Amino acid sequence: MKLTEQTSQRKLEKMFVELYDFGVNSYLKTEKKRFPEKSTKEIIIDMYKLSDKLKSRNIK
Amino acid sequence: MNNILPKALSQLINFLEKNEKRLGIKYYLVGGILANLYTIFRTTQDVDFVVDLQLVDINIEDYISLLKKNEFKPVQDWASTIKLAHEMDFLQYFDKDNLVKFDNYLIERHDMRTYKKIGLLGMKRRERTTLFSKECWVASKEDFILSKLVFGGWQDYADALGCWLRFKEKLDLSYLDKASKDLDIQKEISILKSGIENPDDFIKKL
Repeated sequence: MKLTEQTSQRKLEKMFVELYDFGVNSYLKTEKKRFPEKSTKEIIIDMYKLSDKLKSRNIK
Repeated sequence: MNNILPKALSQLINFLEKNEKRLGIKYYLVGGILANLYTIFRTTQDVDFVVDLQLVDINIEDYISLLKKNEFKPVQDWASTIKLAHEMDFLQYFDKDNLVKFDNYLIERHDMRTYKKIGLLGMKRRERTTLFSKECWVASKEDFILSKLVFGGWQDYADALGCWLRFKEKLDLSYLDKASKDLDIQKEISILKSGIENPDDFIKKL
């Protein structure tokens, strides 16, 4: 938490963007190898479905 | 592919700002996209936001037409998006590159479910800030905490706890107490205030 507070919002956002790009690109690369017949959009939809499942929310 | 999120966010915020100026459709961003502002550094995959169509009497079909005109893409097709919106007061769609998912919550004043009440509460106290170099409306810290406690997943509790630990001296405690009664999350708020520092303790105490 201290590290977050000591880092400027601009730097945090830059790190966020780099991690986001790296995460999406590497996920797409891996999944394209596993499922060459799937389109990029299908892979992205499945990624979000999995992400929603993992949130395992207990909404009030 | 580079700058995936800033490009998508720019498309979204331009759309929302234009709609607010021209049509009076109020909005605010909420959820994980605010994590760096309000809790600790982390990334998120989707972008959550709330839109008030009821106030300006715009129906879902007209709103979908605006989305189409502004190059947003449906998850499956727009007919399914419309069906989901009518059933759940909630829309899901992608940015123009089909990479970033937007979770678009709609305010429904007659719906008494707790997670629906938080939408309107947050709108009343929204704040102006700059996010990824774009000026926009976001949920206040207090409403960020309340919405996280209402949604109730492990990451949500971690975010609420992070915001509490980082900003507890600056938060409007009387508002948090009052709103937590309306939202039936008094227990969650009391756990937050109890001095815990680990989101796992949140789950154990609940």
